[in-house]
Amino acid sequence: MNVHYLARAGTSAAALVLFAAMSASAHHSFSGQFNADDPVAFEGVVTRIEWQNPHVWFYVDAVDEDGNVVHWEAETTNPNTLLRRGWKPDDLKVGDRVTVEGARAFCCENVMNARNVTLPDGRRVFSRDAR
Amino acid sequence: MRASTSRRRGAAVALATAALLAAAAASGQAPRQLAAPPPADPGPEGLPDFNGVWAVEYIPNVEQRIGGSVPYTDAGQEAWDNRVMGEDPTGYCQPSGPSRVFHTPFPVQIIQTESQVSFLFEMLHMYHRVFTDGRDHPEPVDKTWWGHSIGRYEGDSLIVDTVGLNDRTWLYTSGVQHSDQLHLTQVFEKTGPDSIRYTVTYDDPVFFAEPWSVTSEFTRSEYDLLEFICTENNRDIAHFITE
Repeated sequence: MNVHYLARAGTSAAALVLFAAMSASAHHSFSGQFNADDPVAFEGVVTRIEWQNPHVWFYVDAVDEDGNVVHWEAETTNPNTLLRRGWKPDDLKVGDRVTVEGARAFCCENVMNARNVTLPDGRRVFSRDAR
Repeated sequence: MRASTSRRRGAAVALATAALLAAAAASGQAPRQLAAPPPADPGPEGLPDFNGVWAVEYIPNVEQRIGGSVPYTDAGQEAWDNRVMGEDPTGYCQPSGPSRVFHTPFPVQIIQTESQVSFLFEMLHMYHRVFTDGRDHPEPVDKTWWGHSIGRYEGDSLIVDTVGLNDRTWLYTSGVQHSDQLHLTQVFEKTGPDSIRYTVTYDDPVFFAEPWSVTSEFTRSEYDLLEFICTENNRDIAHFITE
């Protein structure tokens, strides 16, 4: 059960945010949902992984400049393509400290497309080519 | 009354959302292992042999591939200018149709008999059939997502003719749309034991000022098809609930 999402759905205002996030998490093109001109990078701890179609999502708690914990929601491409690109399901584990680089979503704060992830052992895995 | 209806719909959407997310969290996961493709059985004697699993070229932005705009009519240009990327039908798991599916990141298995060529697509776990038994298109033909396809062989090529397509698919991820007058010609040319040259021609007098074509290459896939269930964790709930 995704308590994080359900808690958000408690008010109609929050529901609007939820719908925006949902629209970003459909199976879709990159350019429609993410801004290649708005890059973002952060380091944090993986809290959840959804190795599922249509797109793999993972969640990272990072600490911002003010010391606040930021709950990032990171999207990649579909699991089949990740597999064929050498990104294995067990490469990313809950509790891992990782560095994530990618582009922010148009829709909402703290949602992004992860182009690549640097794993705890220093290896990088890629969701898509640099653009 | 109107507000009440709206509230009820909102509540229904919230419940459906919760159910969907709970199901996504509780259910199984996508494939986690790669496998080699099954053996490619020899095709029918005397015909170019297309049997096997093939990797195709991903072409999301056809404009880059053809070096400019698609040759639109005014109606086609208007649709292009007003496209909304979030409305891509495959974004909410609707079918790709019989041409876009060959320009996705996903491999395709071809199963060929004398009377039929069957395509099994990893993309959205779909299939399509092309009849090569000499039949014609039905008249009238229904307007469907996949249309009606007949094929014939010429030398090393299979030529597929498709009519009866509805206007609900996009031809490319970039947002190329079409009318229900779209007529597809797809040529699959066997250029070597492990290669196919694929050329698709789009002819749609409503949306395109002239027929236009795109050529891409297939290579024998290193990997088998994997399962791809689009609705598994798709949260675009707004598109799943109709008025």
